[in-house]
Amino acid sequence: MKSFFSIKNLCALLFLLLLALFLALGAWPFGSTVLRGARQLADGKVPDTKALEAYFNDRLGEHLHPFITLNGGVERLLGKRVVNERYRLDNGKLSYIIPELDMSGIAGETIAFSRYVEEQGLPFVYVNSLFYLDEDDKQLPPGVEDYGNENADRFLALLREAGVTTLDLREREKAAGIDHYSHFFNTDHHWTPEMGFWAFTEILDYLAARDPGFAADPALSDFDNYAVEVHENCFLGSSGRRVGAWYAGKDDFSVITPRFDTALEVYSSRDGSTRRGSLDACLFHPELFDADPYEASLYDFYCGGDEWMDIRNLAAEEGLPVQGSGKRILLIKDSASLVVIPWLSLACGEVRTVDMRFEDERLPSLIESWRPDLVMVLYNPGALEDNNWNMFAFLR
Amino acid sequence: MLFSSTIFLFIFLPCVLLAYYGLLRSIRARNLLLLIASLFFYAWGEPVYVFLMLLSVAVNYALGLVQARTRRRKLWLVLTVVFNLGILFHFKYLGFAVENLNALLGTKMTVPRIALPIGISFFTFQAMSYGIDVYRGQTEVQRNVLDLGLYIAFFPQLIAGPIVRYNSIAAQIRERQVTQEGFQEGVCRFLRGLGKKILLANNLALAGETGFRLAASGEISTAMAWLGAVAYTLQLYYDFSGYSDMAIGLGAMFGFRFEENFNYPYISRSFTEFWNRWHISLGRWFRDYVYFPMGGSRVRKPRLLLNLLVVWLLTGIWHGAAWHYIAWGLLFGVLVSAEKLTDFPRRCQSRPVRWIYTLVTLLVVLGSMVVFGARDIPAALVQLRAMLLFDGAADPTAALFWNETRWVLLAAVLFAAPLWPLAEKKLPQNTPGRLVRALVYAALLLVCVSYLAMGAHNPFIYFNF
Repeated sequence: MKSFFSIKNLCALLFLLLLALFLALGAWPFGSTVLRGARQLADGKVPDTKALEAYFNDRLGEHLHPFITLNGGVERLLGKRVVNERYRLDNGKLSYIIPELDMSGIAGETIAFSRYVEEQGLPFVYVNSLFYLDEDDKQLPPGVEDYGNENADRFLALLREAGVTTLDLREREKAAGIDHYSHFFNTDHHWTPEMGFWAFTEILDYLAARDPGFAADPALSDFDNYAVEVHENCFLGSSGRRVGAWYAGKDDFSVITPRFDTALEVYSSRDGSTRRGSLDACLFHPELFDADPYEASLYDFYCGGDEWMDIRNLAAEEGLPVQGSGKRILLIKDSASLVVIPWLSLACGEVRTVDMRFEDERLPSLIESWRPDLVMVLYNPGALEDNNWNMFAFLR
Repeated sequence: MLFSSTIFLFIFLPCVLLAYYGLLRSIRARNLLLLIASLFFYAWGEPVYVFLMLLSVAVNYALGLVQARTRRRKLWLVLTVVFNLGILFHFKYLGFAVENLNALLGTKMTVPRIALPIGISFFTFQAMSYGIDVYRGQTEVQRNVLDLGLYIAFFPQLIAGPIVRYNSIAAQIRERQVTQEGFQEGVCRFLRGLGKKILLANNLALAGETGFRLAASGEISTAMAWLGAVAYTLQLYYDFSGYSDMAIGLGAMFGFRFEENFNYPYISRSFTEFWNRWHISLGRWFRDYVYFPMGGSRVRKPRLLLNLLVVWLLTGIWHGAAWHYIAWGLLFGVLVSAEKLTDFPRRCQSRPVRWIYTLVTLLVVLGSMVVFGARDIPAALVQLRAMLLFDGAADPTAALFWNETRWVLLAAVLFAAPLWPLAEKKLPQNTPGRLVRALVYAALLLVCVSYLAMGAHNPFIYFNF
């Protein structure tokens, strides 16, 4: 056996060494998988081995990030543009695609909801945010079709036909002559914090034009009143995590902080906590810079995630020089709104958020009891799917 | 459980190797370990049908013992064959038979929908091989039920072959030696198979599947029809031969020598040669247990023709209960029979004609794989028609798949010829040469695991046969 450890057997030795490493990585996840299977047996069920294997893979996956990075490198060498359901655009950015979908169901639900809101005597506006792909310049590989923008066009047309108030930020972007792709991450389908701020100013302009009561201190929408700290090559977005950093590269991430004093009180449903303090102390999550990019998304930096939040602006209460309008907005949102919410909360008296993907039982009581000054939906075209549309279930 | 799965590579294989070499010394204990591991391996994918396999082991064991003790051996052999074919018929062919009887007789019998136990065609053929070998006196009856269980259930070849004939492995179950060279070759063989499966077959799968899907919908371009056909033809080869390599390699790691199952079939110069290189263990099984008993080729021509067609009909049916498999088998029956009757490949001396015939062989094999992989015969005809009638239309779907798979396709075409063994032979047998070889194989394993980490497309085509 002694002679087995020789250069002659190097292939076998390396193989055994790697198997030993694999076993070390897999032992703990397998242990918990066995426990789960044992529980099924104790309950008198035949263990569902497919589900157990999926569970094992989930647990093991936490230790396999270097392999995902390696795989990205291999796929890049092979010149692939379609990897793990992500598409490499001509400009190198990563996107997913959306099939052509029937919009009548979710449009009908949204129209019914807007009528319900208006029956309560409250104004309603549907804001369509930007989609990752530019409708006029999709940059997809040949043979790949996407219908995200087209779906949104048909959806908005149905809303407008029914008399629902809408704001399409895509039109505003075109009018402003903004280079669409420069304001989206390379490795993530979301817009950058800078573009989120731009969206906030457009929404605020729109609201103030409709109801002057929404007009806030002009200092709030002047980007020069904010400090921008760019953290280079630190963000691996959700698309990047699927294909690995060697395939996707990494994005810069900007932290935008007001140069003026702010005061908020924020209740977050994630941990049930209430924080009081400046905007960055209440909303920002700097610990995400230190997190494993495969496990946590730095995109959550601005609000911490998709949990619902109640944000009260205390600027007026504390007599701060830069104050919001004092209006109260109920914001029904998707993840793209995370980089809009902080600035919107500064421009209003109170913002309460509800995430569209989770049916939220408090929505009717928020409308009927809290009675906000505006019910606003802020969704991106990528979210226009039936399985994302649970929030109006209470009207069915 | 799949060889190309994390649970196999991260848990099952290291644990079995550790227990086999680290804890156990006697062959009996090691056989018992391999049997328990094999049952776990099968039960992981088929928690219920593992009992069917145990039943198969028990019944074949009992029938073998009875056969050895009685004078009416033929009767017990017939019972062995009927039992095994009965299992196979019930699970694999009953629905198909009822469906066709309904169509033929206009009856309305309920078509049973029975889930197909993984690898049933392989383990029932192995079990039959045992009964027939005992009947023929080519091997002694196995008196240890655990050893017979190991033969039928041994995890490397349990679910996708090679089909190991009992007389070729009985002695190895009793006694075997693992040499360092043998173990290392087993490792390399396993890794080559893993690479074939994960890097080549899986990466080609989507193009082939898309071709068949579009053909079934009747909307397929010439470009996609060809691309799909080539991708599937290569995928099938790398999928199945990759699995066989892994099985042979794993067997070698535990001291077993299995028969070869593939020998670069796509370089064949005739259909007969193709079948001497493709799924060799199945061809030998039918040769030894069907073709020879029917008289083989030492019969008159009409009988020879009948023998060949029966074997090829069975070969087609073995692959699946569907008409396109039968058509595929019969197609090769006709082609191989024509070669046998005319002796053309051997007699032809003209080099250009032989080259042309080689090309024709390759193209017909390509077309046959369309019949094999298509959803049904009409869909296969749609795809073949699209391949033959050049529509000249630009097809963005074909362009996409070409762009995505071209390097993998190129590698798959190149490695369909014996380039890898040639390259290994060229490596010097010194320290740098060995180092390069070891690093290449280690990198192969790591890249394969990277694809598993991505949860890439990972179907094994031959599990269903």
